[in-house]
Amino acid sequence: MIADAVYTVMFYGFSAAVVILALAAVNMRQLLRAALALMGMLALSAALYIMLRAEFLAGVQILVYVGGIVVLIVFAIMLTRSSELLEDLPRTSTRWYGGVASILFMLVACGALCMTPFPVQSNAEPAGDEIRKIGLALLEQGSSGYLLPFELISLLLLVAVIGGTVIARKTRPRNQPFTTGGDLHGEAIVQAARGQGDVTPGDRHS
Amino acid sequence: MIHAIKVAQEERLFAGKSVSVAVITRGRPPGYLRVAFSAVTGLLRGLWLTLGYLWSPEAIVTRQYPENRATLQLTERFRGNLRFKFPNEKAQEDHAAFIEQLAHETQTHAHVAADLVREENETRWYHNCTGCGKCQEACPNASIKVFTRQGEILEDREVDRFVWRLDSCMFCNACVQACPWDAIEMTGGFENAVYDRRLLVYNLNRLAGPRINYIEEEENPDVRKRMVERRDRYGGEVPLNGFALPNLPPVTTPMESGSRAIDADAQARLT
Amino acid sequence: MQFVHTMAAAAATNTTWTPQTLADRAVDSVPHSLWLTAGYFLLAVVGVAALLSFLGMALIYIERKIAAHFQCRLGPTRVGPFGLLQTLADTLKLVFKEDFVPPKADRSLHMLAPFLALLVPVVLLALIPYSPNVQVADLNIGILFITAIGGFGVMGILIAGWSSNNKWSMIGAMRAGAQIISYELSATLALLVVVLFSGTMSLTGIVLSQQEGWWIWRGHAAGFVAFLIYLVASTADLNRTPFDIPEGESELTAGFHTEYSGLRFAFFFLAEFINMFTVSALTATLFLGGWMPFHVGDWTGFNAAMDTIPPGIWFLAKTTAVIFVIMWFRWTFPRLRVDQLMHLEWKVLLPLGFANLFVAAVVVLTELYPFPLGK
Repeated sequence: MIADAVYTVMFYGFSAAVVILALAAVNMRQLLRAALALMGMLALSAALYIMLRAEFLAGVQILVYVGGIVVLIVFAIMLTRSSELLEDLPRTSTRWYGGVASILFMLVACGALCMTPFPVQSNAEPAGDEIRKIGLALLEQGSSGYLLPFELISLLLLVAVIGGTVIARKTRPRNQPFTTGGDLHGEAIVQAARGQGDVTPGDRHS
Repeated sequence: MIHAIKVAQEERLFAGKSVSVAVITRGRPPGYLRVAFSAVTGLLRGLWLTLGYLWSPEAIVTRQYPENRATLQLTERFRGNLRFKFPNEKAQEDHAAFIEQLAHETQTHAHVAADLVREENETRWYHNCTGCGKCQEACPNASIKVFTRQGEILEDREVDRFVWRLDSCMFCNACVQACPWDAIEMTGGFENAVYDRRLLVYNLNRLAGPRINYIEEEENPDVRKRMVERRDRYGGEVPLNGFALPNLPPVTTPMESGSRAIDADAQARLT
Repeated sequence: MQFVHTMAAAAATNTTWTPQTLADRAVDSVPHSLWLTAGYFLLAVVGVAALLSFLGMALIYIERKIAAHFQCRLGPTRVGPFGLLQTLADTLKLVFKEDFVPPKADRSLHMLAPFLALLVPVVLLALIPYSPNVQVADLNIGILFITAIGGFGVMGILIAGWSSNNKWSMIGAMRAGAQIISYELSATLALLVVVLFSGTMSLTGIVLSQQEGWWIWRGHAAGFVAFLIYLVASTADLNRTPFDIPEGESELTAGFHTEYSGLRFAFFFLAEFINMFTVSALTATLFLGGWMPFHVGDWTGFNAAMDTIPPGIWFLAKTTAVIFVIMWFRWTFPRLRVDQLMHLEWKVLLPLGFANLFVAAVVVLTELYPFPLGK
């Protein structure tokens, strides 16, 4: 069957591209290119999700990772780096530690994958109204629901938002009244004409 | 933002005297809803206005130039080609036109006389220039060079050739404003394309000689004739940065066809 | 308003629509003939490419003409009758111009960026339901996908600015990025209102859900407010005047595409105009009923008369109307300052969007809106 063959070729093509782009994201010495490779990798893994009929997951993957996180990374790079700057090559010891850690992680992941049974449903029809089911499951309280994790995650995000706002907030120096500036008032002009008051904006009430 | 501003004249005591003071009071800034409302209505008013422009064809101001060449009207303040003022020109042109009209009506060859009035009569080219060189000093681009000579009759400096470099002129009008004698003006001519850039440097005056009033004070026509000398549009040396182009014949005679003809044509119509 | 509601409440339309996309046909044809499948695939590719080029030229011509008449001018008149061939001539000129990459620019990224920017509108063109039978593919995560894919457009602009190695490009790109990310929030909130109303994310599903009335008035005020928010936010997403600070000519030369020339500049230009079309088409689809004809209540005669107009014409008319409004905005309003832009989004549109979403949720929850879908 040609359709199956096409499907298989696409699957392996996407997978290979994901692996290559992931390696590129780690090894690129220009940070922006690494971020771009990351973006390509995430987008292509979304393509893999689509092939697995998990469209919602694919959409969220692109929305959150490509549209959100990678764009933020690129923003941060653009605000802080010069375009000619290359990242330092890692030290040898770092390479060793990293290699060992990643091999260990790979072993663990492979082990987990091998030991978990994945029941293959024969004649598996794609779940029709997938998004509706996901939405209901997220807000269900029973054993099949995920209300508590959902709310916990929203709390986490709220904390992150407040933290970001606090960090980004402008602070004003002490002992300096908060002025709006440029606010002239008739009385102040008259007082200035009398030589009584000085027309500093914001001081007109004192 | 729309603050209500009130200006009032009030008598205030100032250093023991009563002084009239202008008191500016700015009203309370408008509330959020009011600002929002005025913003929306303002935007809608703008939209309505531009929709009116889109809707009405008579609002279009575009002039389609080559097509409307025959009826092109340039504004009075348009700054085109620099030109000498010839005070007698208007009267003579009217005269010539009258003769032409007559020739046309009577089916005679009297238009030869009109050509004579146009070309041969030197009084037509009497000018207002004294050759003082104020325009040359005023020109920021050094586009004007006034050659003067020692007059034989009046024994004073007078203009020999007034050379204008169209190719470096930026039409700033400074020369016209600097002229104390009302000798030059900016016309509506703008069709200046030529195939030889040397054609862009030429003499504005047609006669070397004193200002028109000095000539016309002289009663004797023979003396008058001796006071002036004909000058060609492209005659004489090319001044300023040296403009000799190698391997090209010198431009001594004006080209009869093509760009210059159009130029003269356009000048006649647009001035 | 209420009158329309009650009239529409009594609507009983006889017409039933059975939309079929090109992708559906291709899938159906797989057991019969793979050649047919390949043919459908080819048709989709050629159709989108043809639509892309035609829309690009037509929209640029229309924009120039409309802009001219808004400004008391005539616009292109020289090339062809009424200047119709002007964009063709301009395109030819751009094709033959030198494709210049600045010496110190990041060459490969500089060449990649226009394609990233053009990717989004091309994909969106394939998702829009033009008529019941003219649509390349209908995703059941349609709205989600549309909001998600906007990230690629931002990346194209950011990379264009970065790789040009030019301060104007860089500032323009940063502004564009900040602006698009900000305004996408409001646009998404407005889209969510429609998702709430229709109970589906598929674009065809949303069109079908508007058989008895368009969401712009069926959702009480919430639908109309969402429409306005989406119109403003998507105009900002397009980087069009009055939100064109990323390429503000008086400050940044041309913003992120300052260093682009020739065909690659044409790509950015094309992306901008196709984006305008897709945004208008989405607005028409989500709020104005897409290809769904205009129906009023139980005026069966009127409704039948409306049904005789082909759905494609309805879609085209609505989209054209929205495009005209966006152009009208552009040639009427002055450009906003950066701080005004951010103020509008974060202090006006976003709170309004949240409040509107809440109202919409209440409306749906209490089934206040006249036509529960009965699903």
